[in-house]
Amino acid sequence: MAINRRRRWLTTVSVCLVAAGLLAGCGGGSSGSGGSDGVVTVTTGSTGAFVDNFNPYSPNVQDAANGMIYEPMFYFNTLKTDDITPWLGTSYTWSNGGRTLQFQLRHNVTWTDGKPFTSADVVFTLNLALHNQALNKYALPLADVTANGPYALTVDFTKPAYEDLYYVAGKVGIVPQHIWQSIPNPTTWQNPKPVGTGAYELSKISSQSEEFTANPHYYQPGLPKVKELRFLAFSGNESADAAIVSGQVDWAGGFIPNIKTAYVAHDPKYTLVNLPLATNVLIPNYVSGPTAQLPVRQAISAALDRDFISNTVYDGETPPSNPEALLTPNFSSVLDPALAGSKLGGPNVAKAKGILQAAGYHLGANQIFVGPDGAPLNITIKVISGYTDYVSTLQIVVQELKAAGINLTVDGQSYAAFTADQDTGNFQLIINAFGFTPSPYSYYDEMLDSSIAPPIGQTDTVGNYGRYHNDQVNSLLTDIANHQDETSALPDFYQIEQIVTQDIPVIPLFEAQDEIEFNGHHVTGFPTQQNPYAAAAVYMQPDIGWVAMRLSSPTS
Amino acid sequence: MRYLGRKLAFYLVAAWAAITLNFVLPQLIPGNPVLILIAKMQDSGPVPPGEEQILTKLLGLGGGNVFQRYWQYLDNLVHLRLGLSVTDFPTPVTEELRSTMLWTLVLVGTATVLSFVIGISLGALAGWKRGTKLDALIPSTTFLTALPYFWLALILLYLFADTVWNVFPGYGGYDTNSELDVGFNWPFLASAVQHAVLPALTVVLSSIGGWLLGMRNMMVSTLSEDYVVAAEAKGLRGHRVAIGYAARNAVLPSVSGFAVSLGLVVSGSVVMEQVFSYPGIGAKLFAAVQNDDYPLMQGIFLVITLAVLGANLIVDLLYGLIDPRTRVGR
Repeated sequence: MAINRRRRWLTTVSVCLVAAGLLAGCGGGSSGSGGSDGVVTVTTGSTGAFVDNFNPYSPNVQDAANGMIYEPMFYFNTLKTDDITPWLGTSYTWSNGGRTLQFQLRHNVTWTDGKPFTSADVVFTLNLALHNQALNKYALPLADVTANGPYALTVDFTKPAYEDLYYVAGKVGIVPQHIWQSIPNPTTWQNPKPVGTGAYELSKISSQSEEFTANPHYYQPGLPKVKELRFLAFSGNESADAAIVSGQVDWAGGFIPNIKTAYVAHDPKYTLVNLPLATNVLIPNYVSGPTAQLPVRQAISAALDRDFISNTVYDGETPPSNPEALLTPNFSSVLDPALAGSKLGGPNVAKAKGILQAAGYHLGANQIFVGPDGAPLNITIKVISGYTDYVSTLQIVVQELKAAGINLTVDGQSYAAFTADQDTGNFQLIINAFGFTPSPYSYYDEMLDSSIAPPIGQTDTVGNYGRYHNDQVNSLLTDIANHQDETSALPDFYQIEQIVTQDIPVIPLFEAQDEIEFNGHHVTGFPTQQNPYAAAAVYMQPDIGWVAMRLSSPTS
Repeated sequence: MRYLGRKLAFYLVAAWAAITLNFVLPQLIPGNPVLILIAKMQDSGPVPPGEEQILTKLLGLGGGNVFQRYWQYLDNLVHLRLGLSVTDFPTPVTEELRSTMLWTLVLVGTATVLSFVIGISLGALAGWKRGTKLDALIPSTTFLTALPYFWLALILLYLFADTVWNVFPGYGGYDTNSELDVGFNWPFLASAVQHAVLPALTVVLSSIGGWLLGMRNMMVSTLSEDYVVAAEAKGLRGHRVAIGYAARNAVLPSVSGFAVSLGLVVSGSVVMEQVFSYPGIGAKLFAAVQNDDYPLMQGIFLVITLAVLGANLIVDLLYGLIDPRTRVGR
């Protein structure tokens, strides 16, 4: 469960492992007291104590702020390409070759303080980003923003911005002009009493819990359904997991080790929603070290038994990825039909050895391959030591690669050290995930674009940490960005997929599932495999708001 | 007076050294807060190019070389400006400290005092009645001390919350399911006390052995002193000898140890607060270190430093009163 990192990384390995052993054996079928009378309790895992920070521009804003209180103009289903639903907006039109974007807005929307919502608020919000770099959270190439009457506006960009639609329409939460215009410094304002258009209002906050009550004047008919949402703060996985398993939490995003026994089997109404958001990959250093050699990457990929790892570490909840490293079914609409059905699964050790032998490697001491230059094939992989599922995965990978004559060493690091090494390219191999976006362009761009990654040694905060370089891929990506929608750039995607299959810029592992727990005694109406209307993850903004207002109590 | 002046001068130098270390240590952690923030943002979607500059600007970071930043840091300290936390940007560090400090002070403070009092009393008793069955106290309490802290906490969680006997709440500082107003009212305080039992028990159980062992051994050696023999020869009653003569002298080393542990109360018990999701300063410190949150780390370290130094100073001065020998310079 790579996705639940946010709550996972706060815990030390030892505590986590011990807790896994303890909690897996925990019985105690007490049904908690939360959730009755239209109250749904929520936790995002180990968030630490809450602080009353509802400034949507803060990088550590409370999860509920974006989506439940402040809303964007459209909802982009993170699980599916081009599944866009009106939120505060009603429609949008591109013109001027992607440099001009016009929005029509909903009528009869009011802020929770009773003032009407108009295009002036949207213009004000986008102008904050335009005039203050620190508030331009999504680095939008804005040139000008003007209102066309009370319910329409025009946004001009400095360059074709088709790929920025998701951010400008689907991520930027609109703030009320009448309140924010008098804030002298919006960057450092805590905004303790937020006024938004959203389905919920903040009613109470303390270090351990936050309460949000339904907005009685909400503009979408019949929504929200649940009267109150209560967020609980945990600082450690073990206490969060215990609360989830005992039924005190109704909606949780938590990695529970051995989840089938520890959670699903605990109560027939406990539901595990598992919708993929990202792909787990091994990222090789493409510039230096043994992984810069294509045969080495090919051999590693061939030697891995992804089925076994998935079953052992993830209870079989993570299907193996494919050679083109494309997240499916999310991006299946851009998948080359010639590659359809290609899955990575069981190992092929003979093939791995054959690839290395053909490349001039020969087996040396301890059955480890020695390269043509006489150096044994020793590779070090870096991992965040608090990510226990990654650590378990790599322990198996070490054994599997050993069988193929590759000596892998696992180097567990702190979050900070790992991030620094990843960003500067100071590694031979790392394990991480790509995704969390509805756009296959953003997905491949983050993974493959060499124009976003400075040379090794310099800090790269955008992606392509292995410094993969392929001019053809770069120009294909640029071409996709100049198409209004991605389905019209299918040939470009097909080419990229073929190149990924050949170059192996990343070694795909799994379609990382997003394990979200719902207590069916208290809550229903959440996204499911049959009805994947949104990412169910509590920490995805603004998806949290989209899901929250659609939840309901089974008893009511 | 010279004694006092000497002590104060020593503590001033120590405070400066500690404050400088507070500045240096966080800078030695690899990476920087912006990189960590971005890495975390990537867990919910790709981050556009240029985000690093945006965040650096938003957080008001960077600027100046090490010496300029050090000077800025000292200047801010003098004016008690601790800056804005990165972990919970834009919450001021002072607010973070205020909201978490009381939890830890009350819980760990009470537990430490309890552990000291119980440990010293039992130690004195065990020393006085050495050779009896009471000696069994020593291996049993040191065994508890030797247990890893988080393990003891998890065992308590397993036994008393959730699984075996569901008698105490297993996480948090107060009940979040019922309508409680945080403040000085009975329902809240009762809930807070109930929630404090297991964390406090962890602290007491794991630290009592040290006090007990130290006190018992000092007691045994004090009991062989001439003045104790003299007191016994004078026919004083047993408990008078035990408390007034032996224990009073035997407790001296423990008192200085107590000063250090009182200072450490502020730093809380990072592990205990993690396991119990206790909203204290230890959990905050843990989060700060993992986020490379220099302002918050420096704020917490500053409080810890001042608390340890302050507690030591007070005990040092008290010590001069309790034990006249320490006042006399050579």
